[in-house]
Amino acid sequence: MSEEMKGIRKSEVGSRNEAEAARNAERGTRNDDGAAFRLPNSEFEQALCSLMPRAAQLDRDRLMFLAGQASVPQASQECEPAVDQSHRLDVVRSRRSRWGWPAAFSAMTAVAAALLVALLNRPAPQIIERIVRVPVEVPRTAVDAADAPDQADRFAEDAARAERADRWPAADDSYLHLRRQALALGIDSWMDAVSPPTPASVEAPASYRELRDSLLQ
Amino acid sequence: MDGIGPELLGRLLDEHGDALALYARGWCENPEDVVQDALVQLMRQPRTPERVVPWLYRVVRNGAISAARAAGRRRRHESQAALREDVWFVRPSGDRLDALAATRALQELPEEQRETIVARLWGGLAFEDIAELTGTSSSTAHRRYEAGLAALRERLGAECLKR
Repeated sequence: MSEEMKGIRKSEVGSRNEAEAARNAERGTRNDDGAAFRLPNSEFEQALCSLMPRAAQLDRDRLMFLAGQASVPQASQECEPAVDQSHRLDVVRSRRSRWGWPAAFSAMTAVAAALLVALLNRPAPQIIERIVRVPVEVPRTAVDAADAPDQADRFAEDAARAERADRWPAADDSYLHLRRQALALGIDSWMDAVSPPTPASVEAPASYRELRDSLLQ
Repeated sequence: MDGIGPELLGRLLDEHGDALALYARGWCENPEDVVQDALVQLMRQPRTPERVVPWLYRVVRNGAISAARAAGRRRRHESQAALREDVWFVRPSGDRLDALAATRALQELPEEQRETIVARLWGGLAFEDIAELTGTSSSTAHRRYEAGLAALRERLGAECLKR
């Protein structure tokens, strides 16, 4: 057997002897309270045991009062089951109310903190460049003007023709046209307008204003 | 088992109050408060513990360690000085050992040895109870007890032999 194994065996034997010694020391020393009788083996232990611990300065009355106070819930539990039920309900409610608000506060604080962290760690907005094609209606006149430069001259001709038509009714003027002219210039002018003067005898007024002035004169 | 009655509480206080205070004195300087709290806590138990005295020692130990931590945070040096001046024993009738010398010898022991010796000699606890109390095995508790006794004998033995 090696020296190491011998050492292990020795230590095992030693601890076994100690345990046996402890058991021997215990033998016959138990009392009803679970404590052991004081059976010191040696004279020195007896001498130590003869030293009495200093008296604890315990207030006996106060201890009894506190002990009675501590035993009250236990007594009510045994004697008054109905009261005990309500007491238990109260205790449960008080526990709920005691923990409810702190729990809600903690949860809200956690949510607020999480939101704050998310806000602070939010990624910067990315700029996405995108080409959007929107159909735009180009005004026809502008297109036409751009396409045909002489279109303006054509518009001017049309306007002049219309003005001439307003000024002198054509032979094929309709009743509506005549009525409009009568309402605008008066019934007398209408008579003149119905029989247009010959270009040789009467000069045609250049505009509506001249026509009105001539009528007023 | 039913709850503790006032008679049993009074008996526990008379028989074990001083030893419990001595046990708590190894850690803190207000052992009476710790013992009182332990007894009140015992009254709060809906059922009496199977073995009351070891239960009390465990509660006193926990309370004393907590009190020592709290006091240590406040004023470590003052409590050390107070411990040195404190006398844990009254003079016995035979006067075989000096109370102050025994106190100092006990205070100088390592904590685990002191605790084992106090619980064994003055608390009357079995080694199994001490082992459960300190979280060790019975043999370790017994070894600590023997080592503590040897150290005490070395410090007090000569004085003891003189008398």
